Amino acid sequence: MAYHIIGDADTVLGFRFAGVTGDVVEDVEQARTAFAKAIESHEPGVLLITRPVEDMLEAEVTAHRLEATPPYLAVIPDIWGNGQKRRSLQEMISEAVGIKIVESDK
Amino acid sequence: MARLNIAPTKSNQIALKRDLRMATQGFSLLEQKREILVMELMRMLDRVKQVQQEIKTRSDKAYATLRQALSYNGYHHLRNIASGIHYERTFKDGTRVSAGVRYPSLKVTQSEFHSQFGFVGTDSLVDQTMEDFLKLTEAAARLAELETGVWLLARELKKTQRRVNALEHIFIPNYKDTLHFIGESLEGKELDSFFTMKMVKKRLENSDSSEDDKGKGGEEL
Repeated sequence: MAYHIIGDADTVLGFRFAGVTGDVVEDVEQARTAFAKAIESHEPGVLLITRPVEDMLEAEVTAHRLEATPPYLAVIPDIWGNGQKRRSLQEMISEAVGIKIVESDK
Repeated sequence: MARLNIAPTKSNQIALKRDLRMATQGFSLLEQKREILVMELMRMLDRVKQVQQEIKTRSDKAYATLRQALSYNGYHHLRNIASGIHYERTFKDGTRVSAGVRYPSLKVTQSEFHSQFGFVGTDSLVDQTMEDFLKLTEAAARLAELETGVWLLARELKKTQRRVNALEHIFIPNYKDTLHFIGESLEGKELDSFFTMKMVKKRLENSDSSEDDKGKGGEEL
């Protein structure tokens, strides 16, 4: 697995054109199983998930990010324009790790 | 302030002084490391922002092309085409070390765009979709690498921060307090023994002189 995508049917179809395998998920349950299956292998690769999937599986995704083991995560916008970032990476880090990153940290 | 539970002796004082020096050195080293980590993290975050922007433009383009292709060719037709597409990718997973943190470096080489379906029944939009999505996946790999690095750095930063705090607020004050205590009590002991010696000397002198008196008296008698 070099690339794998979890998302809605149309987004996954798009990535099929780049030869990326994918799981089509419609609800939280499907997304959870697909995500668990994808990260369980620990194979080196890039796991693409769409923003809605990230929102659905917030706890799992954050846990996997903190572990920082392969497959490495990349969140991409989906075809429906659900790409707006709700939180910046800084905010997510300060929430999950508990540190605030500011320029003059003293 | 808390004081270490150590007997106030000279040897302990020497050992503690050494510990305090070590702790101070370690503190300044860790402080430096923390600063380096913060700088590195800021740099990475900037790069993440850039790549995210790139992904945004690329995905907007790719999705627009896909929509167009869908409306011209129809969903089922495109799905048939897509199911035959295969790209060879080699995936290299190395590690990079910076500021004492090992983080992954991914190297994905994907084969160049080439037509993988018959010309009949497809149009240029399909080719364009393929190309756009290839570019998008390439950018996504960079994003994945960067983001993983950011999380690893953040974790390391947290750890370092905790150590710096422990040294600054617990260990170093404790050592200083204990040293102060040992110094004081050693001084007190010294005074004590000085005083005792004086007393003893005085008594000895007294008894000497009284013995002398006695002796003199005896001679006289």
